[in-house]
Amino acid sequence: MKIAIIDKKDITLQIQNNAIKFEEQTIPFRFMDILILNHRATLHTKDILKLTKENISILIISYNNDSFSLTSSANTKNGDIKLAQYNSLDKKIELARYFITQKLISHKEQLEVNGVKNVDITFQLEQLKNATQIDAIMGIEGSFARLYFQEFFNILPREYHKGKRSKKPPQDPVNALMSYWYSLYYNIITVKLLSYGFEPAMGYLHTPFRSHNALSSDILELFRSAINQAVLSVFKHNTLTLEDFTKKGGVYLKYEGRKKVWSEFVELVDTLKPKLDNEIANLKKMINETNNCN
Amino acid sequence: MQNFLIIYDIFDKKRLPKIKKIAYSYALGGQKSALEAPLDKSLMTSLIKELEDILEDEDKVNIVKVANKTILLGKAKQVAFEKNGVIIL
Repeated sequence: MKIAIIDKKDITLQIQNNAIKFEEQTIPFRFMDILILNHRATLHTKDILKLTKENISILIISYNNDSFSLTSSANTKNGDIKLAQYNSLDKKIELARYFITQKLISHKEQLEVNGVKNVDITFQLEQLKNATQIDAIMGIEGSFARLYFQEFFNILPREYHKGKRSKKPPQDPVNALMSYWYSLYYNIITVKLLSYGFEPAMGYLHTPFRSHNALSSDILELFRSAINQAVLSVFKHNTLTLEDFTKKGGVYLKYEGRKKVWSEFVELVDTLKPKLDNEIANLKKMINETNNCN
Repeated sequence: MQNFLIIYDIFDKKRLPKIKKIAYSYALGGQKSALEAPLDKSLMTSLIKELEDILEDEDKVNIVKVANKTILLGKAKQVAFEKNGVIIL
């Protein structure tokens, strides 16, 4: 997944010869699968068409990172995958169980890397095996998350958080960065799913057919611990400070602060690329297997 | 991904725009016939292949690896890219 980020206010982008041009810079199409822009860039609708025709998705981020918009090609492809996805909804418990089991394991491992060795998930894993309802799986996940975040926030410098997970809106800098990076990665997963022909709105663990892309949220579960670890690293190294956040209606990363951590996010996406490729291949395999059983 | 300079000198006027078009499709910046391009192995292979399909013996294309810290004078700006082709501004 090649990402081009042009996070600059009040610029006009133009397209010439299969490349984006702005000021004195040129980015050929071959360098991007996804183009990230802030909401104060100008791009002509005909150029949006050109980009999406080349299968380049455009992700627009608002000033305070509290809203996102994704534009992709409207071309439908791989109808067989979408159909297989639909048919496998009958077996959604198995897939939901997979996402949460992996989530629990990866979160436990992440805590261990940071010296927290006393988290035992044997009981939860046993409960997961026997769970027959999505609500029960979500319940197990919820109770684990409380335990996890308690330990997670203990590892972080005290001045950056209130000791618990908060979202919509985030109440402290750690939660602000976590939510922001979750949202960005969720969109990257969506672009990846679309490129393979999946229907991102049809999920297993998260309720399908709601306004959000439930399948992207399902897959995001597998990557949250890696994102949390990257967030931890930002605050341990003081890459961001309290001045990089605004407190208007919740705590959000400011535009200036956002620019400081683009390279960390890019590095994270790069590190996670093989795992994301694997997980999508694995998902395809699981869906096909459930279809063969039907 | 590393930064390279693509420098070309094309003998025939008909081939020149074709070579130019290819070179620009790999470049993030530069000037006239000296272009800065971040390339990895696969990009390098495809660039060479595309060029070789058009180049004749009398033409010349140099692809030169650029040091991480180059000397920039005048209004020149370092072309921005990260190792996987990401541009950050």
